[in-house]
Amino acid sequence: MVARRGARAIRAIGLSVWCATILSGARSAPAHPLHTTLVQLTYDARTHQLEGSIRVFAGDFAAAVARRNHVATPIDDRVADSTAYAYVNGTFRFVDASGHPVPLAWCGSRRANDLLWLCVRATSAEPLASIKLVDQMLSELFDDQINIVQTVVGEKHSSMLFTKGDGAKSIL
Amino acid sequence: MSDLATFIQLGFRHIVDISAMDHILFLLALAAIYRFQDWRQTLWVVTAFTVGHSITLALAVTGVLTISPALVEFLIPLTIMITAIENIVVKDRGGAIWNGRYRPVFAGVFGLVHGAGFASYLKSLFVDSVALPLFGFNVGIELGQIVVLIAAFTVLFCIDRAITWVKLPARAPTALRVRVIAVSSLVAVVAAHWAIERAPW
Repeated sequence: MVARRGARAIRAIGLSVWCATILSGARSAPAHPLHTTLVQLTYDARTHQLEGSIRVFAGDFAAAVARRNHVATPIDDRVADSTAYAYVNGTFRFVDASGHPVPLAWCGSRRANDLLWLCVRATSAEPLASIKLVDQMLSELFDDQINIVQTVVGEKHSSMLFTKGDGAKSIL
Repeated sequence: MSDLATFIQLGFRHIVDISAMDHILFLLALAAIYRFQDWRQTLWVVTAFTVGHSITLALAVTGVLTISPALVEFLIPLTIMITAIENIVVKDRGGAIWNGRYRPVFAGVFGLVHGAGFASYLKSLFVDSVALPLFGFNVGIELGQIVVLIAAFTVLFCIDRAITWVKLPARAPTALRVRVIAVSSLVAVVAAHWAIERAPW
């Protein structure tokens, strides 16, 4: 009886080890990074201007830009402003009530260690309530990408999240 | 949506995601020795884990503690492996030290390691106002862990049913013990594989 019990226990352990070996061979797990960007959006009611300060990890951004342009990611993760602007223009956009994109202007970039700060502006004569935002930055790179947008309009603060495939969302 | 709700959602989504496999496996290893009726004990253990990683996260984000990300990524699967091995080795929890009630301490200490894993990301992104994101992110993680635990208990329940269906001989180990060995050995092997992959040398 003891031998039978032992044999069953060994069989159970053997089966689980076998499953685990297959499982670990099939999918090696990378570390669990937080794939996110942070946008701080401000609105100047006098000039009708929206300004977005985008914080993105330099390595992820360089990889996304390189992928879009079908080139290798630079070793130092440096991206020229013109290339960065072209990428942002394609993945981060404001749309008006009729669904037309509001032109985006570049207002610079700077890098602090592994973080990249990008600045964009958009001006629309339409009321802010009718303006929507789409933020799909880096979503083509990571399925679990989450982009945070924090908006400050006067005294009012609000936030929204964009995940892969999300459409336009109202700013207010 | 408020800023707090945003960061709660960020933490929640970070855990309830298939790419959070190391975190999910750790929770599975922690839960593997419990039955559904032990949910209070499990919740204590998981909350201790959250407290642990909140402490390191806060220390790392505020710059008090600096840990090499490569070392942290290696230590995380080690904590999973040790938890799984402890599940197998300790047969009689009543006869173990502190009557086996050391699990929350154990989970809290390992939580310190896991918290360091998030730190570098949050520290970089929220340089100017870290308190609210940190708090919201941790609340979201705790809520996400509860959801993962419910899923883990459902899986463990199914495993228990399968073992019962096999009808073990009268003198064989209990169904719970067979489940603990099966689940923990699976988790230990996967975690060992990750540890080797992430070894910093």
